[in-house]
Amino acid sequence: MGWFKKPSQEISLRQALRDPAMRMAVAMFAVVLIAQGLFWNHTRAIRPELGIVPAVPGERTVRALSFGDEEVFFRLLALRIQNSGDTFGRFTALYKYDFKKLYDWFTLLGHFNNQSNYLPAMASYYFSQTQNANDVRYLVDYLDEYGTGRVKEKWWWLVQSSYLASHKLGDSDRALEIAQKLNGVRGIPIWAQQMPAFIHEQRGEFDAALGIIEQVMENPEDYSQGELNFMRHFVDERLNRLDQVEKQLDAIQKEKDAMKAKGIKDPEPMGPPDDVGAARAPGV
Amino acid sequence: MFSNIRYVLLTATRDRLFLGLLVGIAIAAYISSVLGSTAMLETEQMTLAFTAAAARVIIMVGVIVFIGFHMRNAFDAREIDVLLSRPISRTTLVLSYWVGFAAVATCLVLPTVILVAAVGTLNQTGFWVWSVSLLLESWLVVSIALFAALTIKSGVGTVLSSLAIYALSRMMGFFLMTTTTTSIFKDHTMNEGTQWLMKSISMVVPRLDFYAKSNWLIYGAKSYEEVYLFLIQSAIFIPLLIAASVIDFKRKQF
Repeated sequence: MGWFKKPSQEISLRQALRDPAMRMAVAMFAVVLIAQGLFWNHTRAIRPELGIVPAVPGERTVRALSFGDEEVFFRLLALRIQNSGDTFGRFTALYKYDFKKLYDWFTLLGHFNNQSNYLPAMASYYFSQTQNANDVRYLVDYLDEYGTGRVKEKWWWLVQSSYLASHKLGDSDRALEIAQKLNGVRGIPIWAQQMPAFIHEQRGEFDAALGIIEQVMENPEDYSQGELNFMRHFVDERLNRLDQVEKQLDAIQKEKDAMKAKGIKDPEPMGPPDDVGAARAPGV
Repeated sequence: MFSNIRYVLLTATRDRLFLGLLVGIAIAAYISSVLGSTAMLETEQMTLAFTAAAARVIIMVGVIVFIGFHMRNAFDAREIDVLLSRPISRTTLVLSYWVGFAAVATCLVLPTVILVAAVGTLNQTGFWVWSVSLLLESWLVVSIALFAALTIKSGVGTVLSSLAIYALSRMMGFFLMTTTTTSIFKDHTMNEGTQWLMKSISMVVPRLDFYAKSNWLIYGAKSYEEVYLFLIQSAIFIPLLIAASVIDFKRKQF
């Protein structure tokens, strides 16, 4: 800790002040110190203008600034978007956010990493809580674009998009349009495949809803006894169309019973993927 | 030759290079984990990407600064003259310096690789690819800094030029991408001129954007081609810079 020690060859201030140059330096120091105090007093109210959603840079700018490691820049910027409006002790209500800018950010960052579930999770679970329901359309569009073309892999975000369109935006046409993309995609949960049927039912289009359920019913090896029971309940209680498919349902039930007798296990109902940040139901 | 390599390693230890940089990397990893933990999803991926990138920058900058000032001291204190007065060729001397500095870089990369593994290995193959590419990147940076130290007379000049080449090399992919667009300037001749200039520069600047990509740690390398690219680039550019350093050093008058 030698640098804290006082040098031994130091003269006292009184002695030093005998030198006119020293007196000049001390006077100058005092004047400039007072000037700094006055400057501080004048400028202390000037604060930086903090926006909420930062301006969206161009794709080329981001590529240049990433210095060849786009993954890091993607994650830094994604974290910045998550914290936008809530920095330096601020908390900003979501209705004050510019959702068009958020959409542009999501789209831009998607060019650097379209595998990560971070951005769609932020859109679905956080920004969708905005008090301004109209803004949700930007999130619906983003999630739809994110999942389209790779439904088997990203079906969860199409479900979220359809749900937001239906329940937050109140646009059942858009919700149905998105949900139709899940129709007939085997390998995703049965309830996700049935989404267009639920929206048809809400719209009072019972025959169309029945058509979707019939399509799902075609592959009994894909669904469990519980899911079959639900389909029967849905067709009977909510669509009032049991008479149209009763024989079919009975035949499937027999097939299921035969499978059970042979010791073939019922398929496990599928929950959300592990990496989307969704809570799982107990036992699933 | 071996005494010179040992001397470089001793100097790095004496200058507290290992301690300083490794403490810096550990602090960067801690800050990365705090930053990563604030993410609402994929916290592990965030931490891993930030740690890897911060460690890479710290190692490369540390190595450049160390080589720049070590070589300057060697010239100023006439250590080089003393070494050359022994029965050692100039080629061997340059090679011994490169091996010494590469050993220093390796001693910094190895604990970093262990640290990144401790943070979390999401993709085993990607982790190994990233580790090997980080090591080769550090050796390439050693070659750049050594070449600059032997050709530029000032220590600060060596550090600044090496950092500039490092940044340019990391951005080379981006610059090459811009040459494919014809609308940078309104004037066609200007566009053609800049494209030609960028292509010419890219011929003599290594592509460091092929190295140590953080997404390998998370998703793994997409293809073998990604691995071949940095292996071939290292196999070409490290000997190229060493050869250039030897040629320049052999022409020096002491």
